[in-house]
Amino acid sequence: MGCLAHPSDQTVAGHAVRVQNTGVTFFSHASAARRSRQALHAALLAAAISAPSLGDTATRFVERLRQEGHGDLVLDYLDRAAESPLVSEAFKRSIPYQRLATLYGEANEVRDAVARSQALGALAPEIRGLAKSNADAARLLTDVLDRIATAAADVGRRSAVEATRMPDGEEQKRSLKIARRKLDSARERLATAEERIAAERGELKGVIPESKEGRRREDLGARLALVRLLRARLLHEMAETHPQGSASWKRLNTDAAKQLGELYTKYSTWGVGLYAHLYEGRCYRLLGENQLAVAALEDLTAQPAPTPELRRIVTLAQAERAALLLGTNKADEALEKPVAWLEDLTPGERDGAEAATLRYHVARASLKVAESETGAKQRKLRRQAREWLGESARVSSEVQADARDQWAAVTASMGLEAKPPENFEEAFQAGAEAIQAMLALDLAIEQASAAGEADRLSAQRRETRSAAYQALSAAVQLADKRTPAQDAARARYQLAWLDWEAGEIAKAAERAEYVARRDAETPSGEEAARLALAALERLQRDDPQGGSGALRDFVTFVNEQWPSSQVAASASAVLVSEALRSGDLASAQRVLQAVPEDQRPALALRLAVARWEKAKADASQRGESLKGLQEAFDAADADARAKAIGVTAALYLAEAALDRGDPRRAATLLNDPDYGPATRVGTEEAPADNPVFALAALKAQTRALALVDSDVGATLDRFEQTLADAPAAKTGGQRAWLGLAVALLSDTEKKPAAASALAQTLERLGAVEAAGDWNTRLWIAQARLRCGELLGDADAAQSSVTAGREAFAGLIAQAERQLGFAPSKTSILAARLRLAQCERQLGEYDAATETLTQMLSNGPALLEVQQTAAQTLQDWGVATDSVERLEEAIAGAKPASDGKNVLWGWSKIAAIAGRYAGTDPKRRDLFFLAWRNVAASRYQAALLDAGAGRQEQLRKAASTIRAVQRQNPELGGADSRQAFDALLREIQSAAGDRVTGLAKGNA
Amino acid sequence: MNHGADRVMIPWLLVALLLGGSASTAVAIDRVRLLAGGSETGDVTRMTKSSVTLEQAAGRKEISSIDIDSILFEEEPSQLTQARINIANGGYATALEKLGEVRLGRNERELLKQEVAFYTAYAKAKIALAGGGEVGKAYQELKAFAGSASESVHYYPAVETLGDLLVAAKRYEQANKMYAVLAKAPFDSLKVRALVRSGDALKASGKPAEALRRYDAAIARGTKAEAAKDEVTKALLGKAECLAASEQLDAAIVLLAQVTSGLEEDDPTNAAVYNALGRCHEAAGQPKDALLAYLHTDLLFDRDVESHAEALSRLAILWRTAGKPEAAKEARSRLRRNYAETRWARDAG
Repeated sequence: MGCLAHPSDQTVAGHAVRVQNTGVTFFSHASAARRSRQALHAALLAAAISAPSLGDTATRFVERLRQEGHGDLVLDYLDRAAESPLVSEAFKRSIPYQRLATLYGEANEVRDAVARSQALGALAPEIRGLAKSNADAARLLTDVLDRIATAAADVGRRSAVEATRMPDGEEQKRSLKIARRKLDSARERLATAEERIAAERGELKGVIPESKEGRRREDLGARLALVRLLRARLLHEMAETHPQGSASWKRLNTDAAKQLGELYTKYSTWGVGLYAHLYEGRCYRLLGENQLAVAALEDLTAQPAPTPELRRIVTLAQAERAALLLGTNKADEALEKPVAWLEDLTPGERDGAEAATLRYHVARASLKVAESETGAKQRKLRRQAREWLGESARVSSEVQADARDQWAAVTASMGLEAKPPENFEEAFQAGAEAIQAMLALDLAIEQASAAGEADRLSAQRRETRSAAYQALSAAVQLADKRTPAQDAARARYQLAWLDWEAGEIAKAAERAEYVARRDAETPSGEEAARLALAALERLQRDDPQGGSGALRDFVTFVNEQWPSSQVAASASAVLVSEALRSGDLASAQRVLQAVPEDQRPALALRLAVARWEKAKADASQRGESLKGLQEAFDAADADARAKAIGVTAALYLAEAALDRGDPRRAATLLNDPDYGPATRVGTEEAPADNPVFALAALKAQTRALALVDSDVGATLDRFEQTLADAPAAKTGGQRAWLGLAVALLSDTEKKPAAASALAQTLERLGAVEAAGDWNTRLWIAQARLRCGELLGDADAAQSSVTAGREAFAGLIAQAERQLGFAPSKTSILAARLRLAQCERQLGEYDAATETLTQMLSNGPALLEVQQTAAQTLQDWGVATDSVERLEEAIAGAKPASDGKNVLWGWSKIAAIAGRYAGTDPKRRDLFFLAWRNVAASRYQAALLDAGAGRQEQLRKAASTIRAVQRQNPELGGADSRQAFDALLREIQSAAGDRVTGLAKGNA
Repeated sequence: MNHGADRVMIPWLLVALLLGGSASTAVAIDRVRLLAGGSETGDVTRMTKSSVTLEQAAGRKEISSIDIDSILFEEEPSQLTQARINIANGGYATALEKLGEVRLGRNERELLKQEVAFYTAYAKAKIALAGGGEVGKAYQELKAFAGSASESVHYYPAVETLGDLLVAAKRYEQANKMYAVLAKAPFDSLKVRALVRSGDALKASGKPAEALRRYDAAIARGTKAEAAKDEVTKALLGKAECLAASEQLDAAIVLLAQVTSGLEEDDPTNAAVYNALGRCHEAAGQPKDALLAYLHTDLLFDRDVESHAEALSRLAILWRTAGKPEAAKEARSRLRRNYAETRWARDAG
């Protein structure tokens, strides 16, 4: 049987402590501690939750979900598992426990201690109920009680710290009282947890240490020690809520020291014991029992510390020792061994909370020593103290807030004391310190949490900046020929930087450019050049009319001064960008010629992209600019291509390849592993992290796939996701589908197979169609019809045409209901015609004929409508083997009251079209089409007949073609002639004649 | 003949041959490796699509093609031997490279020429099926082989793969005709497999009711034949998906539960079951349930490349639907990193 363990880590005085048999682990940062606790918790939770059967799929699945950090899915899964036939009965019985264990895991992840405590508390009754009948739940209850107690201790401690930091007064008294109550309550909960842990541990007495139960017992032992340590420690926290020196303060600290001492005795070989000893020492220090305090702390600092864990505890002991020495008027000594230890820390240790605590205490000692010093020595000590305090203030620890306060006080006092600098060195040093202070304040502002703290720190920052500015201004004035050139340059550069960060761009540009030109050889020269570039570019952007001469001159200077450097590349890029931003491509081209050769290809690519963006819609410039883009792309090196501009160029080239019907070239560009736009969409890297670019890349990818008849489903899914994830205002929302559909419809002209992708795209246009105007909806419906005509798959084609028919019918119905919906009557007629074409396509010939008859009876006899009607009758005849319909296709149908046929048939269409064939190419085409269909209809009728009738019809069909050929030997062009030839061959074959096609006629 | 030509196993004999270099030359015989283990040696004197005749010292022996894993011909080029191993491990591109190095003389044995032609066409077909080549060209090449080697033990594997290529090209009707050819094989397991493949094609073409009938037929026929056990499992999975597509999700899940109940925890078929469950839930419009199903494959049953790649490709979409784009990205990244050559990775873009 398994058990639900939790990590044996607790927070003691701001340091997370994990106790193990092998030592102690400190987490140097509260958040790191929490992260680590969470990770460990997840692992242990997953490993320890008991399983009805170790091999059970559901159990293993739940474990893996937790291990992978998908604990939130476990509840979803458990809900489903209860009814699933795929889940074992044994697992189903464990679901109530699994659910509570999951909720426990989630509650434990809550960052805020109060909320965590509440969440855990809410779970406790249910777990307690289940624990009566379920051994796993009983163990879970132990864990929950332990966690509740720990969270309560966190809450109590935080409450106490906040209350003690409040200004004296009634409000503070009330807060201190509340804090004491919370600490009391936490101690009670810890006592309950201790009892529970001890009881469960007792039940496991005698188990094999290596077994799961043995490991649980070991874990419970460690947690028992921690709970006891925390409980004793809270006595000291309670003491701190009373006035120092008061009876309660003394009593509580004395009790704490006693209990902590007992714990040290009991656990002297455990990390937890060493911790107890450390805090025992602190209590004695506070009580003025200095000898006892020294004894405790010496125990810790004198012993070897071979492991990082032990070094951390020694660091804290050194901090306590420094505090003790300071309190016993031995501040000098506090700056010896503790500082030596501090300086001996490894880089990793220096970032820890323990080091921050030590720095705080030695800083205070340094300030104390400074009081008895004067002049430079005093300043040095104070500067050192401020540095330590600043570093301490940046790290989360129990002294962080105090360190921040002390640092602010020291900084302020140093500013007040500052005398006007007498020479460059003093001014320069003061300026540098003030800038450092500004940066430290920036960090402090970021981390400030207490009300009003950020405002206070911001005000302080403004003062510090002012001090820095004054000092550096003085430094610049005091600089003379003896001043090291690099220091003078540094002072000017820092002054320029202060201008820049205060928004004084013009001043910053002037100063920085001065340093860059005058002190180019100093380390500050290149930095100043960067700053000057940024400032000049900003000025240029803010005032485009302000002349770009200064920027151009400076870029030239930078390129000459630092050729082939990063700053030179940035300079050229700034200039070209500026020219491109202004839309002055000619100027950009001139700039390009002036930049160093090694930078030119990358910048030329930018220019070529800009040219293409401007020219692609202009047919007269398109070819030239595309050629330029291709050349620039080919000339750019791999690095330039892999940048956003290279990827953008690849997309444009791919789009152009698609437009000229070269999907393979497009696919190669789109999917290149280094610069492929589609590849970038997959990895969500720039520029495809911009949804507009991603959609354009996916559009091109869809087209490339569609043109080679590959499946586009996954790409369209990605398109949909990208649209869903991005704000509609940026992408155009669902109308992006329309753009894709328009491109695909155009692609079907190059390759009909693209219709499949178009059909899938049209399926996703529901939202656009529903909200669309007449033109949008008409376009979609027409596209559906076109799709149906092109799709090879009969089912898909029928589905598409059916959708088109419904769309046309809906449009017409709405136009009839809603005056003004359709732009004109002609528009409605066009929609009706398309409706009839859909009906014909679907084999609904009767309905199509009816629609067309109504159109022609009530409106003008449009040739296009008559053509559709004749084609419908012909198709109807073929589909139903009806000679009558085929005759109607030729001669017309539906006589009106005047006896004339409303539907003309191919003969009359040919006659009417023939009248205009000389002047109108479209009608000329229709003329030949109509005659061909006259012949075709006769041929089709012949196939339905037998004997003499059949031969007669075949003869007539052949004569029709011959007659047209005689009058128009070219028969309307190559395609049309080929169609006539093919038809005649079929007729000749059916008639049993020699199959010669049109050739015989020509002879 | 081993109809799953790309079984993932490296025969000890092949390894021995590779390591020994001229072992085959020294023995100077053909070796027929059997699926059940072991091998028979002799001279292959006759071959039909359903059997191989081996002349041995003890006399003539006929071996049914369904029992054969592979045949190593006397003095065959080492590249051919290596290519077979590559194919068995799914290394189709490497196999093609090796086969491209094979130089056969004009007077070489016809069987050897067929062997090279088959594996070349087969590897290309597999690459095309994974989205790495043109399906049409692969189809033509394999069809040419099948047309010219209708009495080869590779005939039925070729026919089945041709059907698969037609499915990939969405030519479902023609695919079914190809599977009908496979169904004429004189082996129960192939007959059942033909029904399953045909059901798969119908399912893919959006005809679940017709597919269901094929799966039922496969189950009915396969249940009587021990050799068709794996195919029956596939039929049950296919049937479940058809039921889900016909709004009978509960029945589908019961069917899948029936399949899992007979599986060991470490049986790779579990992955296929949970992927099928995922597809069922997707068909029923239940993305969260589908996510949980595919996660079973990802977290518990990730040893089968094809199934795991499929699961990752679906998770890459479903995580996003579940509001976890980072998890989606991570799934897509693993798919691309671990299974770049699969069709799932290619389709994911």
